[in-house]
This record gives sequence, C-alpha cells and structure tokens, in this order.
Amino acid sequence: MKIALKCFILIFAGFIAYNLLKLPFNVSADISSYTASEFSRYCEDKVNHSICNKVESPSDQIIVTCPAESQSISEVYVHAGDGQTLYQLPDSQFEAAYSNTHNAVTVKVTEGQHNLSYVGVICGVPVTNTPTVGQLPTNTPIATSTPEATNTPQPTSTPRADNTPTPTVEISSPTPTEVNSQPTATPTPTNAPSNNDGNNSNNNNNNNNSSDNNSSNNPPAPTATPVPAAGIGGGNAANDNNNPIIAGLEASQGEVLGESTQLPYTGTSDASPEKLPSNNLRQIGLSLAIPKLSFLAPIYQAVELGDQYLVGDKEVLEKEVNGAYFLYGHNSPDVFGRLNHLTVGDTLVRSAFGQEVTYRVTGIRWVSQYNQEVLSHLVPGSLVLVSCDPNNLSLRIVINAVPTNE
Amino acid sequence: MNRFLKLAIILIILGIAGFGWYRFNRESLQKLSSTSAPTPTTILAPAFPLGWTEAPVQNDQVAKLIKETKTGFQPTIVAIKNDYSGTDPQKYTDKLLKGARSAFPTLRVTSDSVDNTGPIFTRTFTGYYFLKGSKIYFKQTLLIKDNRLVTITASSSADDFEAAFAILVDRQLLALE
Repeated sequence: MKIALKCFILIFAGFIAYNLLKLPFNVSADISSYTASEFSRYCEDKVNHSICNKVESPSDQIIVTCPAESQSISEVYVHAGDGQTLYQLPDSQFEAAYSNTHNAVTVKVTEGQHNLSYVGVICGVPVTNTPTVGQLPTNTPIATSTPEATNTPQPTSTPRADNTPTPTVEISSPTPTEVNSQPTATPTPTNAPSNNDGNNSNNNNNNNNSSDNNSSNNPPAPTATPVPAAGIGGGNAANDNNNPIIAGLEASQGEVLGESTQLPYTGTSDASPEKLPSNNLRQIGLSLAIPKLSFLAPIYQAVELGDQYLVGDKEVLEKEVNGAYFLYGHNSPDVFGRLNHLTVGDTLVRSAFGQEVTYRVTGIRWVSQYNQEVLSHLVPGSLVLVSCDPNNLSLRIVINAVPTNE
Repeated sequence: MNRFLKLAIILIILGIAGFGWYRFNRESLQKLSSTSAPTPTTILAPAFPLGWTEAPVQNDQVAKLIKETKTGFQPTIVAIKNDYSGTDPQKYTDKLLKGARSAFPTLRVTSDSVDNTGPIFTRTFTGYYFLKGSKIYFKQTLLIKDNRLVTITASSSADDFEAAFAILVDRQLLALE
C-alpha cells in the first residue's frame, strides 16, 4: 500500500512539474475564442469577404493584407497546426510586424516547435474620433439646446420633402432656333485673342506643331480679324468652367463596348446669358475666326464620354482626326448657329499662338447625325466645322475647308 | 496525525492535478462553451457589399469602388473632392446642373433633392444617360461644407449601386464633419 501511494505521489509530482515548466511558455498566450475551423468558416463566408482575409501557407512566416487598401487590421489570428487552437495576437509565440499603415501584417514564429498553418486578419476602416454609423448625420433637424418659453410661438423647422423625388426633369426636345443673319459685331482689326487661363499649358503641343507646319507653308492670313462675338469665350478662365457634376460622371464611366455611331449632338434650345460650366479645357493660344459672321472664339479641347462628345455651352471644341481639324459647337446663334450663312469661297481663320492659317470653304452639306464618313474621309490639313441644323436636329451641317494655298 | 498528513498531501496533489487537467483541456472547454461562431468585437465601419472593391484613385479622387463584371459596363462609384468658393450652394449647384445638361446631350435627371438644414449642404440627383446604346443609370450626391465640395457619383447599367453608394456617402459625410 505504501509503495502504491509513493508511486501515485511520484506520478502526480511529475505531472505537476511538467505543468509548472510549461506554464512560462503560455503565460502570455491569448487563445482565441474561435477554433481554427470556425475562423476559417467565418472568413470564407461571403458576407465577411470584404473584412476578413486568411492566408494558408505552412511556413514560419506569412504575410496577410486586408481585403481593401483603405482598411486597417483590427485583429490577427494565427493557427499553428496544434489541433483547433487559434491564437489571437499579440502572443509571445509569434511576432507581428505591421506595414502599409496597418493594412498588412507579417507574422513569424518566435518560439515553439510549430510552423504556421494560416494567418487570418479582420479589417475595418479606421474611423477617427469614432463616430459610429449610428451617429451619422440624419435629415432630422437637431434640437436646439435650450427651448425658450416665450409667448410667441417660434416657428419650428419646416419639414422638407428632401427625400421625395421632384417631378421628372426631362430635357425637352430643342425647338428650332431662329437664325440671326445679322452680324452681331463690327469687325475691327485686332490681334488674336489672348488666353489668360494658365491651367492647360500642355494640352496643345500636337496642335501647336501641326499649325506650325501649316503656317510654314502658308502665307500669313489677313490681319483683320474680327473681335469675338458677345458672350462667347470672352474671359472665361478655365477654373470657371469646372463642373464637378460632369467630372463625376466622367470618372464613374465604366468601360463600354462598341463604336461611336453619331456625330456630336449640338442642338440646343436653352441659350443661357452667361457661360455655363462644362468641365472642358480651354486650349491656350487657339482660336477660330469666321470673318463673314463676325465670329471669333477660343477653342476648347474635345472631350468624349463613351461614344458621346460633350458639347459645352458657348464653346467651340476641336479634335484632331487624321491630321485634320474637326471643330464642333452648339447651334446657338452665338456659336455655330449661323454656319448656314456661309458659302463656298468664304474664309475661316484658325489661330495658334499668333500664327494664323486661313482656310477657304470648299463644301457645305447636310448629313444625317449617324453619318460617320464626315470624320473618316477627312483630308489631312483640312478643317471641318459641324453643328446641328437649327431646323432639324437630326441633321448636321458640315463645312469643309482647306488652307488657301492649296 | 500521520493519516491527516497523508490525506492533506493527497488533497493537495488532487488539487494540483485538477489544475493541470484544466490547463490541458482549456481549449476544449472553451469550444464547448461557444455555441455559435463569434463575431469580432471591434467596431468597424460598414463594409462594402459583396462584389464591390476599392480601386486605385487619382489625385482628386477620394475613393473609387468598382464592381466586377464579365461583360458590358463596369459599375463604378467615385468620390471626388473639389474646392468650393461659392456663396449659395443652391444657386451654385443649379448652375452646375444647367451646364451638365447643356454639355451632356443624353443626360436625364429624374429626381433632384436638397437637404440644407444641417451644416452640410447635400444635393442628390438620380437619372440616366446613354452610352453607345446602353442606358446607364446614375446617382450623384454633392456635399458642400465651408470651402469643401465632395461629389459622389455612381454609374451602372443596372440599378445595383444603392447600398455601396450609401456607405460611400456616409463615409464622406463623416470626413466632412
């Protein structure tokens, strides 16, 4: 009996000694409330894809990043192959080094015999000053701090129909505009307009070179250049033309398959007295003059959204196509609404950085809005003006012109 | 006395043994006590809905979300920051809308709501436009506070961006406050 008792005591003493020796290794271990397979299931659940990432790679070092770049790691879990045990860091058995502003973590084994099995992270978006989602501003008016007891009832906040969509605002079909055949300004000799907005100095290198080439072959154009028509181009700095609505639509445009099928939609019925912002960039040093119409306007850089040309208010826009200049604008009287008054032989003057090139009108025609030949058969060095027919918006008036020395 | 000593030793040994057994089986006991998959305790901003991922942004962009698609138009939501120097946000955004309609021929605005009661002026448009024959739905919110303007725009060929759009707007509201 005594021997049995002694054996029993020795066995338990050994067991205790083992536990006491093991204790220091686990003293800082933080064993997760997850099991390894529970965490795997949690992370693989589609609902949690956007906040959880797990990298499985048996080794002594694993790098894990958050599902999205803007997130930061809030919790790190390590499975080191010992059954279902899952450790939540920090843990003395593992070393974690964070990078990319807490978006990635490198986990290494610091002690113990196990290699890593997987490392998982749970990420969130850093919220400074922690207003939680529930504290987001709502449409509910905030109560004032001290209600005053006056005899005169104070008007309370009038409930607004903020969330009720207003009636559909559709752009009505433009009605034909009446063409003013009289020039609006008397031509006077002047220099080409100076463009004083310095935001897009690198926009026109190609145009500059092209026009230089043209001008080197051509004699200078007549110096009598009309002054700009009222309301167009005059003093519109590029900054005034910023339009965050269009910028947002441009930036949110996804990829669309297909080909452009239409010429610019240049019809307008809503002539605004002031220039409306279009977000298009004005090309420094470029202008177009049509002496017969007493028309002079700066040139804007053509912008396409998908297959559509953005036709800014009171803007002449230019795109270089096959070495030719394709210019288009709205059919309002102060832009291209009087192109139908031109005849073959009339002159157009395109100015680039003081170098003027004169073009002679060689053809005037009306085509369908779907007629792409207008752009595919351009003669290099030529000029083509396009706008909607004022009386039929499905037609485009197309003016072709060539340099006068050809 | 000898008996009591033996009993005491046995009790001590049993106690220590019990402690050791508990340490060995701690994980198993915890597993038994957990009835369902635990959820993280950290308070997180709401994640974007499934399928939406954040894309690299340009300088003026605050955030960009894209939804993976195999064909056609890729649904995209983008937040852009601008300076605001106007005095009347209502008139300023009226002018922007007129300019957009003038420049963008197929743009149709089907709803337009304004909230100017709080410190942040909020104007939201919904509508659609056409690109290469496809009808593209859009939703746009302009947030103006002091000299800051943030424009959040969603475009998609299906009306599938509401949840992600709302989260992005909430985040921008938080950032402006």
